[in-house]
Amino acid sequence: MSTRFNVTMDVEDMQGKTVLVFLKPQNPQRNYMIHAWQVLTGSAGATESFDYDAVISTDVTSDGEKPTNTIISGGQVVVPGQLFSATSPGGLSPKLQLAPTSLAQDKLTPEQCGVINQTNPFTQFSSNWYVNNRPVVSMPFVDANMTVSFEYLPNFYFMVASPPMVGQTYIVQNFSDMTQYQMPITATDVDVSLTKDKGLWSFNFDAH
Amino acid sequence: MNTEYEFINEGAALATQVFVWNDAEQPAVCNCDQSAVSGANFSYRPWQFLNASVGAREFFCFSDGLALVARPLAAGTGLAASKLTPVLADHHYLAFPAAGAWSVTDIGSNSSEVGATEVTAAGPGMDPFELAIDWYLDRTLIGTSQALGKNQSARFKNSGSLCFLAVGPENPPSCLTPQDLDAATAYQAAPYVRKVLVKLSTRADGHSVFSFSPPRRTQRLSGD
Repeated sequence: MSTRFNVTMDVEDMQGKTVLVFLKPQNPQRNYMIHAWQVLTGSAGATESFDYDAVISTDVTSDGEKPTNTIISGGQVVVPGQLFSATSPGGLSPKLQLAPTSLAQDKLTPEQCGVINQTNPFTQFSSNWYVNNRPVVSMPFVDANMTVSFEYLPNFYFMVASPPMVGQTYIVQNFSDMTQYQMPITATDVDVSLTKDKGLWSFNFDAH
Repeated sequence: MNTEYEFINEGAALATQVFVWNDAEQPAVCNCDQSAVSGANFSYRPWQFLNASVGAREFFCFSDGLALVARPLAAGTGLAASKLTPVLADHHYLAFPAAGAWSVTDIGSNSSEVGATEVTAAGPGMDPFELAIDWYLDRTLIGTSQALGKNQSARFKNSGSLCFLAVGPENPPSCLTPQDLDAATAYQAAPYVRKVLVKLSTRADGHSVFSFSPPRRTQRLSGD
């Protein structure tokens, strides 16, 4: 089921800032690189919309033969409880394929999605996780036989900030500066209103 | 000027070697009177080795920066190779021995061929000697002009033509002649193009095929 968010910038001037929306992975590590899941345009007085659909996908990023080259594997849709194995077929870059259920049960809880590094020869990579095909988090430095897992709750974290530069990521500590919204599971539409009073940006939510 | 390439492996269990084509009219070593030197040759080295697995994308950047190293072809000359020296198109360079090593210096514009970089071996005062010129792009060896004798020249012209060759992923980087690259697929982006998409796929008959967007494609390389 898809949920539409309608965000109204109920202010006279965004002052060059915009609204960023984040999803927070469960049990995040310090070195996780958090992506702004949604970046709105940020026009004062306008209403912008985005959709949330609980579809998780994953890929991995590794270096090419030249460290200046980046390789992104083909993506895979994952459901909780599934584990994907990254292998290096014929010496090519890491490729994701579904791991045996027994291995998944050994490595993950039923709520977690995971990737295990089984490349041979070993290739270190970053594990990237997406919701609705938009990036949520990158987990760097996945070593040999290491499993990384991804789990999140449909809690949305709103923040007013300067638009991120290309490739810019955030750290877990940034969540303390955000407004958390826990969406009712039955919601199909959520109206979000952004206001500013005495320098303080505020978000108000109305789910229906 | 940089051009960003995005390479997608759509279904081949192969790697891809990418070569920078030497578009100079006479990439082989030639005398000052422009006649070809017997036995002289030019060989290519892969500039890129793309090993994206099926479904993966690999990104690389092509620039027109060129550099060279002048080195003795044989050991025992008592001269070390020159430092990696950045060079410019339309410039003429002189390779000469100095303080126990080869040195390379800019001696002005190159009038012999528009867009080419030319290097001439100076006479070191000891015969016989042969010099090799290693050409580099992004600090990666892309080709070698071999067996330059005294007062002989070699040229490299980077016109932005790349040659894509599908190979087994375990293949080590190979040294190819210009004729070997007949099997490769050549592509030259228009000067205004900043982003190129390259796809490697496999036809029903098992042959690998490269396709490009924008689709300008050089079927035959100049000098073929």
